[in-house]
Amino acid sequence: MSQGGGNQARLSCDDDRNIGYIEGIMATILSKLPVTSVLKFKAVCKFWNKLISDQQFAQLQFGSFPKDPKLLLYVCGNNTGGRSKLYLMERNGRLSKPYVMDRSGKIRPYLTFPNLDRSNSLQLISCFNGLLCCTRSVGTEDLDIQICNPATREVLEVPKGSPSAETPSIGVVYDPDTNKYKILRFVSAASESEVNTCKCEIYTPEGGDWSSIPDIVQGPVANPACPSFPTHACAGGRMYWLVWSKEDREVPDYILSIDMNNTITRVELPEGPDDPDEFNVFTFLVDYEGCAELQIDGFLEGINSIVSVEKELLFIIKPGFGTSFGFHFLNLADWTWRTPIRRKFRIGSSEPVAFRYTESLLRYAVKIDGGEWLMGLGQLVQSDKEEVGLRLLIFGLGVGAQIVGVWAG
Amino acid sequence: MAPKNKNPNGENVVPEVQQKKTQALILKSSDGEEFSISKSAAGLSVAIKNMMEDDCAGGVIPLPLVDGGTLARVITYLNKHAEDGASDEDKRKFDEEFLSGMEVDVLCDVALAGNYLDIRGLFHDVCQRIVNGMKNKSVEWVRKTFRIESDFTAEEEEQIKKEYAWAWEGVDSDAD
Repeated sequence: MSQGGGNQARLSCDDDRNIGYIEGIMATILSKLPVTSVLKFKAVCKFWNKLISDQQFAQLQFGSFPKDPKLLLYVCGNNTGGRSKLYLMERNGRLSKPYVMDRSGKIRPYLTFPNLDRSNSLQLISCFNGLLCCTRSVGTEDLDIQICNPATREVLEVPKGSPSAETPSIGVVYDPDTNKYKILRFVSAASESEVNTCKCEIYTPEGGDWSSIPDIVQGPVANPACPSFPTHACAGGRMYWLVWSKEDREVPDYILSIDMNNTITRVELPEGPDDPDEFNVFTFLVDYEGCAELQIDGFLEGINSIVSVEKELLFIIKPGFGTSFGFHFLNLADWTWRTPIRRKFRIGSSEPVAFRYTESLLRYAVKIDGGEWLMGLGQLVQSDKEEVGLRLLIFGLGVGAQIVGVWAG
Repeated sequence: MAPKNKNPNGENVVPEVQQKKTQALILKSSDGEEFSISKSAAGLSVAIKNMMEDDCAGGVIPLPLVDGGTLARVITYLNKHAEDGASDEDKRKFDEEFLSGMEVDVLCDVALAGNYLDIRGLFHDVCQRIVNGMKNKSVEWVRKTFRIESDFTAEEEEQIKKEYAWAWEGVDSDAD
């Protein structure tokens, strides 16, 4: 995809003066269009179809499309037949309709993937590079995993991993620079007597199958008070999760992280401004670009998601741990709250969650030359807390669910 | 200014840059029109700058791929961006006004020239303008505007439309 000057040989033929056939120029122009427009323009001619289908173009598009992150909001249906819905939410609070009408008057979902309508056990695990990782219960103890791109509606069914005595915990680690990702599956190690000790299996789309790393770790588990809160956060090419104390299931002990080379690192919790023992069950990890050290006086109850978008944090909060929820944005620059949607949403058979989302053309598998992908050997190493990226926020909420402090690790 | 007064060996040389600034250069379009432009303005084009450095021009640089009308527009842009007193805000306002009056075919010609002459800022601004005009447009509109003939068979085209059917919803009418 050459562009710029010095292209005179190519331009010297008069036919080539048709801008529509000059790869460097058309790639630049098309990469600035939204995904749906680009997909439509595949039908213009063979040259455009080939250009747009190129994986390199997908990378260019993801990098150059004006970054306007939106929120993907999943509201689960209820057991009496309500349908689960996936909304796209603008930052001004405007919600896409979950269903749109096409020209022939047919109703079709705005965003769709095979599991959405049928299963109320669907869980959204992670959203990265315009892709969505979700799971669905199979039998009593196992999970189906899918990776889908809601913009192109491509879906990857991830093959089954090894059997697990308990429902495995799923995580995703991704590298924002290369757009590569790995799915992690923490399988209860039944032979170990310790609680929540796991084998870690890793799936790479390039390898196409699961492989284990030798470490036995404490896997990510749901927050005991806010079970729908994502069990992990990914920032700067590392996945982080809280390990809860063995003595008290409601007190976080330390943080574990794993990088793209499968290196597992232990990170101690930072000391709070007032009391290092302040971390309690209301402790959350959130990926946040930037650093912050703050005190919030807001009174919060029942937190479902905390999502950072630009310089704001979106909180999904259930007042009084009730049966409805609302959205509240906290502006981190001036510490003001805004509530763009006054409407309250009813909670279905499971809790609503939100993720930051930027649409892309990226595919679930990035083709690379055979043999390039090597599995690193995992190892458990102790590390200083300085090694935690500045993009990770640790929320500690005090007694009475009042935020007592937020620290950037 | 000091570093420019040394040649690659670190010896002091006459500050040629200062002389060049006032000097003029002739750019010759594909249809034979000649335009005078200051060397400092012309130098904003990486391609012209390279030609000046190679001194292959002898004062007249032929640009066989840029017609007179397009070249006149490009020169207007270069002159503004080389203007001594122009603040970034001035330039931004100018760019906005400069591009807003152009039809898509003119924008395409300017994009081609911007790419060929390697004027990065102009090229990207013009591309963005073209993009703004393309959003929500139909495939037929795009083919007409870019003078592209479909080389798909009817079946192939139908297949692509089917594959991404949802992308075809909510398209503007082709009327400009």
